[in-house]
Amino acid sequence: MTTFGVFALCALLGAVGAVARYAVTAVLPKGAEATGLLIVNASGSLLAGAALGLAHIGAIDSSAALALLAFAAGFTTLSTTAVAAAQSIGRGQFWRGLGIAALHIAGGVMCALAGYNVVGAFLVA
Amino acid sequence: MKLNARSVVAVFVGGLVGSAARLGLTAASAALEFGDNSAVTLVVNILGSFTLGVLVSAPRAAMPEWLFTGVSVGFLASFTTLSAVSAEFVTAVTDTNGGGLYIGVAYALSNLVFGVFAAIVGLRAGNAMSKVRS
Repeated sequence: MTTFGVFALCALLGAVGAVARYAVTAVLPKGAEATGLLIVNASGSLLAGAALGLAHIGAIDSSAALALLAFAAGFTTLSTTAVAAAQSIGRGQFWRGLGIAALHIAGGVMCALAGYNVVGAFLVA
Repeated sequence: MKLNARSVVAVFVGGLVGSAARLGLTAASAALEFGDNSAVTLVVNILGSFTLGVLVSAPRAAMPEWLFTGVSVGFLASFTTLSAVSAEFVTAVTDTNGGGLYIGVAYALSNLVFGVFAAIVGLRAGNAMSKVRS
């Protein structure tokens, strides 16, 4: 595939990720959007970690890993979380705001690490 | 939030443009040898968080709901990313050339701190615009 083809495919997968995120948050009852977004960020990070793990052990090639990472990048988001945290801080709830952002970042990092390690362990065993 | 065809299309188009913009910046940065992917992700997250802050607090009486959803949930939310931060943390920790745990933690924390700070500045800028308008 040409470089432009890879670029276009990755952007397309990112758009599919965006619609998937929108669907997840939209089907949840009102007030549960924040939880939905946390699930999206955690599962997208898990997928990204798994893609890196699978590529590392040679189970998938680098273009397949790139495709999974492109979907996950469009699926997950930081700006929505950052604005939700900033709005809490603006209302005087400093620790709540910081907690929201920390929960997403720490959760994402741990899920990605879990994805990377668990996938590898599964396939090697 | 309610799913309707117009909003779904707006989110798809916004997501396409947002993803392409992020990938384009990554490719441009690689071509110019400006920095690695993690630097691009951080810059993208700061820019996107600031812009979303402006968008949600600025006056938007003239903007239809589907367009607002397309720009916020589609474009800006896809432009910014959390999975790339997580993936770069994994690379830092697991790759022998990745920098190790401290670099990974510092990188994740910088996305958190600068992203939230940018959103606070964006919200204030949007509020200031509202006051000028009224």
